[in-house]
Amino acid sequence: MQESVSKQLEPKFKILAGMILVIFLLLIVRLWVLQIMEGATIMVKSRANQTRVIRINAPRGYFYDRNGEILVSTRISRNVSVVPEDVKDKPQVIALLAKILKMPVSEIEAKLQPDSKSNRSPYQYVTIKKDIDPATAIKILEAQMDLPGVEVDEVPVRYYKYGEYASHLFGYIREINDKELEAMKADGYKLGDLIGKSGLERTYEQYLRGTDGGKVFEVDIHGRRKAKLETKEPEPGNNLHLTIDHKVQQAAEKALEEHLIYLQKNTKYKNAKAGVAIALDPRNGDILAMVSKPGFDPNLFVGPISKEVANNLYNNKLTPLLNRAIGGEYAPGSTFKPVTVLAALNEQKVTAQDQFYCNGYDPVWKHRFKCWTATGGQAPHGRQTVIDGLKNSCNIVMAELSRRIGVDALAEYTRYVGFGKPTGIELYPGEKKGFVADRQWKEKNTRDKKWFPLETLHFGIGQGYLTVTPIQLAQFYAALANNGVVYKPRVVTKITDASGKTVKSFPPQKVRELNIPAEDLAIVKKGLEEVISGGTAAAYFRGFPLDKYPVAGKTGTAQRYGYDNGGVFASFAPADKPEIVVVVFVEQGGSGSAGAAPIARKIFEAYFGIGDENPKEGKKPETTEATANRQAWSAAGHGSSTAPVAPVQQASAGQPVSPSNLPATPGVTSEDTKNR
Amino acid sequence: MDRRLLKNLDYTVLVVVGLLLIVGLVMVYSTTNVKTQLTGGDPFYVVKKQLVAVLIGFVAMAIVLSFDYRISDRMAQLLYVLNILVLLMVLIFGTERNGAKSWLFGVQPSEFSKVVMIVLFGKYLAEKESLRSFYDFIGPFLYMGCPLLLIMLQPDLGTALVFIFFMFIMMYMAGAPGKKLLVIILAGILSVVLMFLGHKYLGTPLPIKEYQINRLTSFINPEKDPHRSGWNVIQAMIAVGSGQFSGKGLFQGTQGRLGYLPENHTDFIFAVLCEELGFVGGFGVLFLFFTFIWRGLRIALQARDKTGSLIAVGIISLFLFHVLENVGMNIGIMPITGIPLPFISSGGSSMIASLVAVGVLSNIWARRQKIMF
Repeated sequence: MQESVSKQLEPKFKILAGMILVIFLLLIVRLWVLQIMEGATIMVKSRANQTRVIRINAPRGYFYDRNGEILVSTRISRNVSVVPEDVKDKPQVIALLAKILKMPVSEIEAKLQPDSKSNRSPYQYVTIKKDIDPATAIKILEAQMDLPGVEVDEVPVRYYKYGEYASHLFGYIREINDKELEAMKADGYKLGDLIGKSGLERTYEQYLRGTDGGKVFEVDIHGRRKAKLETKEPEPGNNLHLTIDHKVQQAAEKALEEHLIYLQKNTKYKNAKAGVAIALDPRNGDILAMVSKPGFDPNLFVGPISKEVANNLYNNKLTPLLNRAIGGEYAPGSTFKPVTVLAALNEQKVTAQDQFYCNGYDPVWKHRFKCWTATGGQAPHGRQTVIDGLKNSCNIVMAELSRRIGVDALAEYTRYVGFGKPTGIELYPGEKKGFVADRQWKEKNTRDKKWFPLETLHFGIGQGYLTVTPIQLAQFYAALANNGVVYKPRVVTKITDASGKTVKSFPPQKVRELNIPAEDLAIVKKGLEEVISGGTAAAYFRGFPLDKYPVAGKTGTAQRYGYDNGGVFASFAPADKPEIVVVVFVEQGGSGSAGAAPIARKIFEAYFGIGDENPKEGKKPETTEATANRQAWSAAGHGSSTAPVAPVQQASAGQPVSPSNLPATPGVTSEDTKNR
Repeated sequence: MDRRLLKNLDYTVLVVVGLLLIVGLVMVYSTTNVKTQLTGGDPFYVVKKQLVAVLIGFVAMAIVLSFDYRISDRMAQLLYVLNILVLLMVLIFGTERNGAKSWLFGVQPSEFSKVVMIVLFGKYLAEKESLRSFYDFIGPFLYMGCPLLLIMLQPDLGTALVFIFFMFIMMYMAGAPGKKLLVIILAGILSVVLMFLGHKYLGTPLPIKEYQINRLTSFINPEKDPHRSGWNVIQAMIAVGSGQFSGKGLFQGTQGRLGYLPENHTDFIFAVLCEELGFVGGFGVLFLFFTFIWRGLRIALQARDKTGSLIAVGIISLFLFHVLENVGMNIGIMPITGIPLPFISSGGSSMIASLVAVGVLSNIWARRQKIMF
């Protein structure tokens, strides 16, 4: 029976056996294809499926001043985040969290509500509160057992220690925008990254940013973190070592700020709201201080900006985001006169001994070109040498020199000493070039076409078409101070990595050596020194130890139609062995002497430690200055020939009245305000 | 039990089954120990349940072994009626899971129905004189049709397909001409296609629901709807493929543990096995099944009578189809119908029914010669 069954069914059994073999073969081949042939590719898919990378932002590099003091750093911000799904049915957790964070429960609940727009997984962390204080963070960590799903993350946040301080120099960081993202994708930037938008933050972005690290988490189907697979620590950004001297910068910030307020409150120059102060070392081009007002607190850009603040920053007529030190173009006014004198000396159109006569009016143009004494109704300068011309800022002398030089040569000299071209400072968003006009330019670009002889005279006193940037003027005065050797203004000396190793260094860069005869330079320097010791700025350096730190400088008043006059002051010290150049511009500050020179003085004081050497004075210089300024201004403004010292104030400060506190020459305080 | 009976058992089959059971228990542990919702905190909870099913299965197997597979006509009638009654009860009192009303008091009667019907159908076919003409087919079709219809009403499409599969193979082996069976199969396929076309273009109603169609056809192009109907196939294939040659390591599979692959302790346990143990593990399990089925074929060939032979054929068809369908859907070449992998997938009814089937097979082998009792 057994035989018969199998015999009868044998062919069909073969077919069944064949079918079984085919089925198993099919399954095994398919398994081979999936696991062996495509396995590696599928493995990648599997990994991508199950891992999420949580980025750890790299702390941005620090800024140090020239003495190693930290100016800009990165601090840790502690943020509280919650997994909505983990606290879904746990009102006690939310209540406890609300209590610790001192937040209403409803606010937390609102944040945990599913966001219909972003398609967020309920297992993803939601930030509840940013930047909590350490005590609160500790409270949360202590209550961790009662707070499932609550986490405190530590996030690096940019920190500008001194707030509104060198803000234009430092710049600020902000979330990358779509355009930048498109352009910088190749460098690994991602949505939400913070990047330098301006200033040094932008200029050295690639050094400062560092390399983000990340935690790779295995996540389940709901996006819930399961296990940490690996952690890549972030690499901190490189540090910038600046040429800035904190002490000088701080003094410059304070001096400019306070003097603007002083001018607004105590003088008729109510619109004196903007200004620039630059201090640099002429021997290497190091910028010791750079202030541009109005400024901003770069810390503002770290978090969300309120509408009010944004409006104040972006839609402000005073353009607080503009770095006036490199981006402001101003008429230099009388601070330009050294160029005129140098050109005349070099062209041998004048000698130190030549005498000029100022009766208040130009001999050729009469009432169409006056000295500032004539405008102010004061006694004319009378007999003047070129040195006197600088000292007293006599327009009549400069007019005669300009006439002798001619516009072509004057423009050539102006360009030769560095105006009309960038100084080379490496700072975003780049510097303006200023403008040096000449005959060809006028021919091509104006309706008049013809260059008028009177325009040459205006040129010679730093007015008319000529504009300069504060940094250009600083570089020119540095060249004067440094006997013609011109350095590129430098802000960063070196970049170091986290371990302190130098990544890049920026040695001082000599850009050119002006071929100025030493005797010509000596004449100009003598003139500039006399400006301070007995000339247009003398009243504002009363009490300054000029015997120890002789200052050379030049006041300037820049006219602008429809606005109050701008004040300019350019100077260096010590005059015999210069270490520091200080240039100050005050928009609508009235004059270079009263409007700008006092600011420069305070910067010199900070640099030479004059306040420190004389601790008794305490806050005195400030008040003396203020009073002196007021007196000086009223003397100038009202044509009074005497400017009393401020005995009342000095007495109140308990300061003995010393000769150095008295005006050197009566009447000297009353010049320059109407310097043509 | 009789000692001679024990001596006559096919120990290869039992060892293979034993190995598959061990693999199964390990994989059930691997796929359930992290699912606290399922285990209630005890990582061995599901494994323990499975182990109980195995033990019950062994007892059932021994009971089946002690009776002769050649049951009396009366017994057969009784079993047939009992089977229909139970399936009817499922339709009336049963509970629904995963869209099919196939559970009754915690068991899936359709799992047992398969084995019972194989035994009954084997006897029925062996006693039928002629299977040559289409007319001769009416009887077997009606005989199988009743339980099949009840299962389709649940609707448990997977089990229904198993029924159809072993029914045709048993009829073929019983002497029905292959060509005629093929005609019927093609006609069946054609009518299904027409039904679908009618639904698509004329809006005629379909006996199954939209989501079932999507699930059934998703394996052809899972990327069409990767987050819904295509999800399971895609995730299963990622699991299998990412196992590569030697796997991610036992208990190290991420697709299953992290919840990407649903139903991974039942329908998709093979994918997890392939993920954790690689091609080595997948091939090994397929090899064990092949050995089991190949031995089953020998049992069918050497059975003492036509009844035994047909029942053995039915049982190997049952396992063959389960392996083909379950493994096939795990590797993306078969539609997803939700039938378990015998001995491995978690599930008590399937486990006990499978072991009963092994008991029947052993019964036929042990009684291949006339044994004097």
